[in-house]
Amino acid sequence: MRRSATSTPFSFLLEMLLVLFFFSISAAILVSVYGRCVWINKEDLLTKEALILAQNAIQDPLSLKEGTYEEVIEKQTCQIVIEEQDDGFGTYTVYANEKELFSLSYYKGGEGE
Amino acid sequence: MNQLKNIHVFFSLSLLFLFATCSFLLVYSQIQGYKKLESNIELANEKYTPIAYLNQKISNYDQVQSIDIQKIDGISCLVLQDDQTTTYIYAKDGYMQELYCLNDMEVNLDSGQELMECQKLDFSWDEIGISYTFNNTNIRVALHSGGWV
Repeated sequence: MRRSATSTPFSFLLEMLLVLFFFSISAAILVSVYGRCVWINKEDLLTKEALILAQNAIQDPLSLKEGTYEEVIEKQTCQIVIEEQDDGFGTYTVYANEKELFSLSYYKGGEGE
Repeated sequence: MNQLKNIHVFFSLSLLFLFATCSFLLVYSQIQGYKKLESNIELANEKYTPIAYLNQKISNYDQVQSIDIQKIDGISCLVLQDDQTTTYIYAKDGYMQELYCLNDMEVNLDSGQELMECQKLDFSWDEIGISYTFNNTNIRVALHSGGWV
């Protein structure tokens, strides 16, 4: 009688510890998934805002000058790299945290055009 | 022994309580987080969908003498014209509205169709084409035809 009286709470304790262990693992997974969702959402918003900026700039390709520029988009400093090629085409690339968000190509026209 | 049993019960129940609290907090924070994400996505859609729609419309009518900007009853309107019909796009009563009518019909901006929510929509000419302000976002659209009326 004495043995069964002490083992029941102890087994319950062990079971709860096991449950807490699996709970902490699943909680960690859920939190990391949520964190990833937030990051993807932020990156998506940043890309959309940067796309509007790029589209506005590319509408007038003759005003674009080759070089690297910095622009604050959605409270984050982004690097804009404008490169021109000899065939009249150019690329407009936006980086955030040294990661390329997107690259658009445009046609500026050849020499004498 | 009885005291030991009480301690076991106490710790077991406190663990159960801890588990229940953590589960509740986790589910609650996840629900709040996903609600916030969803509202962010909705706000983004409310902003970018009309812009894409307007850009597409302007590009479709990028022909000689097809696009004009008019002020009707003090409201800035984008006027897109083809051989038989005229489309007016403007902001009124908190919505971006579109009025589609025959060229010789009289314009009544009250009968436009509400498309999307919009507080401010101002059109103006730009050296490369049209520029417009949708809420607080400025957009430029080049007209390759130079096609204003």
